[in-house]
Amino acid sequence: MKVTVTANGPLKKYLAGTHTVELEKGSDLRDLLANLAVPGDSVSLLVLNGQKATIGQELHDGDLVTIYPPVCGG
Amino acid sequence: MGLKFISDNCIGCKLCQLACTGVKDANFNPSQARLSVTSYYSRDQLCVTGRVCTLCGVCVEACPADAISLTGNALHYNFELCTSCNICVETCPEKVIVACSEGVAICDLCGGEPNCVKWCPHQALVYREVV
Amino acid sequence: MSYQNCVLRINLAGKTSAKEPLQQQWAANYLGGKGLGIKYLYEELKPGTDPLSPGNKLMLLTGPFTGTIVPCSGKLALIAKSPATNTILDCSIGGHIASTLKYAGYDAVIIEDKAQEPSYILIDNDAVDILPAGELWGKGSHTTETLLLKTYGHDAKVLSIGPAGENLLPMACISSDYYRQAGRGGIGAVMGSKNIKAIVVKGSGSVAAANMPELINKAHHFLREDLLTDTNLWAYTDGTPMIVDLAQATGILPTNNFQSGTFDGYGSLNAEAVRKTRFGKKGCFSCALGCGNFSRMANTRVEGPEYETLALCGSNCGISDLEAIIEFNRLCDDLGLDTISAGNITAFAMELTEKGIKDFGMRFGDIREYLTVPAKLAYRDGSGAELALGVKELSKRYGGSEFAMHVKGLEFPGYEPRGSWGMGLAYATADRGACHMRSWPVASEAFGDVDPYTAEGKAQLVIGLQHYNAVKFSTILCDFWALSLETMAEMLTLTTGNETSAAQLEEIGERVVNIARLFNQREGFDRNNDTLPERIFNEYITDGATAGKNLPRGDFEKMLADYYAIRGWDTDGKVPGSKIASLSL
Repeated sequence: MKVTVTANGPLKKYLAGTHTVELEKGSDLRDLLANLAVPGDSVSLLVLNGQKATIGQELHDGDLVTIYPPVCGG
Repeated sequence: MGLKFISDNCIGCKLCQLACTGVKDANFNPSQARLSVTSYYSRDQLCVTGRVCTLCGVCVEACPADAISLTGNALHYNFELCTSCNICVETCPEKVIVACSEGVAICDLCGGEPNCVKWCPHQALVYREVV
Repeated sequence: MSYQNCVLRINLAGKTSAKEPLQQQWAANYLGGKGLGIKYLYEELKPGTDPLSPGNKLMLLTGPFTGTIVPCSGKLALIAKSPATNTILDCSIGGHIASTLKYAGYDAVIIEDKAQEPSYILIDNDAVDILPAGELWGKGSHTTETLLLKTYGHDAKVLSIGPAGENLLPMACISSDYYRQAGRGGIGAVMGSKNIKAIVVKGSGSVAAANMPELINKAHHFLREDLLTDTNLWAYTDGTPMIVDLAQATGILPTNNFQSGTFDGYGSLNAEAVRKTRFGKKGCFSCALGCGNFSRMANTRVEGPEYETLALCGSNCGISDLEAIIEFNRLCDDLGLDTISAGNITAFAMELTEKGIKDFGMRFGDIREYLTVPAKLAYRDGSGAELALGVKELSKRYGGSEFAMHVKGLEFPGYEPRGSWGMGLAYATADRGACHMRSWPVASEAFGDVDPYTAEGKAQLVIGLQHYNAVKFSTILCDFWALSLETMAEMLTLTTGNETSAAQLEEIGERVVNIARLFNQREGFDRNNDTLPERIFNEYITDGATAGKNLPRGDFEKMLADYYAIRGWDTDGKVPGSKIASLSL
């Protein structure tokens, strides 16, 4: 299945623009992150199809994933 | 090798000026730094200016006491010979020579590892071959 | 070391000033900034003082890190009794003024009484003058700053109020560097009530740390290894607009006066949208992150908009037009208005209108009326005369108190508590009213792994964050560097020469929170004031990721009871004598 990933903020240096990643059926967000060259510590929030997701959440064909760095303060 | 200021990268934090006086003068006083950066709003623009020693050598020529020399690609200042006339301060085209209570402060590129470059967070100051 | 050991005390009525030594014991116990300022005000201010009377004091505080190479140490603390809430008020302003004040030779400035005529204060190193404001009075903050910089040179730094401060609005702010503010609680009105239009500072002295070479080495190490990392660089790459995306995805983006937590138009005011209008980046003195985004569109520009403005003046008003928000922001900055409160009062007026309770002629999403609000407020013009009251007082007049989104009279910042229950506790227990800067549990709840919809563990979470921010804002470091107390302690030891540990910093944080609480207690505040608007307890978020959520009153009461218990306060939320003694308040 194919999933589209975008990185935000300083994570763009690992993953510029939008990427399509091929994954095995039944893969979850943990599997996706393992596929990307983004350090685990640098990822704070995972957003799947516009909503907050957990790392173990299963992915489906055509999903849109956005990854965010930690943010302190507002 | 010389200093170059890249205004597009400068956020005006002045960590460079803090590093300069912190290391050279053992206190923090940006107004006494041997380089200067300013980021300010003027009308509808954000203006960023930076002045660094360009090794132009005008101070060397101008000094009546031969207290400044340019050797090994850096300026050398001899406090013993300085008469505090401040002609170098006035003639420096970049205005980066600082008048002190006694003598002056001149950028000497920190012996080849400029502290301002070391501290700049976003590569607005680089130390590279001068063309 | 690193202190100037000098406090400048200015009496405006007598037009006199004097230097006095810094209270050493207080500096040891409270460090500087927020904590030291609150301690000074607690000791000097008579309880029951009207915040807009000459009896109130306006204090400017630097900290031990101010003026040194410690990165992100460029902020100034401003302390007074709040005209909006009658609580203690401490604000924080960035730009370049804090270090300049320290280089002028002062740890703090205490401004007392009231000038006989509109004036400005000039602090030029040793020389202090109170001069007639003349034509400056009546001008916007931006023109005021331009004129003063023209007179005194670009090395001078300026604090100024706009017409909102002159007209004593409870949401008036103080500005510097054009686009930085000491925003909340009516701090600008305190300055206006003293007939002070501006404070101009020139400082050409120096600051020295106890151990210069080691501090420089250590601070550089932290700069590279701890500050310029993916944890903090969001502030540089995007700035606070990044939070729009996070809040939208987690359903806590205030929409239509906190009726919803998701906004259809969010894509027009998120990080990507703001980036497209960005023409430059600007940072405060000593800050490596440079969070300021200089945004320019056809007919307007601002350094910003920050998340709070995008949320409270954008989605919260149903406005998705970025150019309109930038213009609203620019108007607020120039007129000297807190955008958080201005956005809230606008949204409240929109809901009152739409519900047929009181017609202010404004509806959610109506750009035309929306853009008239800042001037109406600042000049108390037309409906502005009533809007200037703020949501608490306006709701007393017309109703709608269930959805007047404030705590103690200070309007809500941009995080929907029903989607992040710890934030509800944070708002209710913050010292100056609804504030996100005392603790920000959103980071671990909505944006992290902690369950947002439970009362369990929230008191401990909020307390820890309150201590951390309290001590951080006393050393003075900026919110956006997520450093540990250990790192802070290492740098503080090298800066002052006094051996300091993370545990000691935690205790100082607790002390600062408690002295603030004691101040409020003395002004008559207790558990009854630690509450939230009815909307949070009884209404459900209308749609989006947090649809159907509320914060049940029982859960709120549990968080609050836990909070008092862990803090060692009594069940009325009061600080007992034993606590006062054990913390040496």
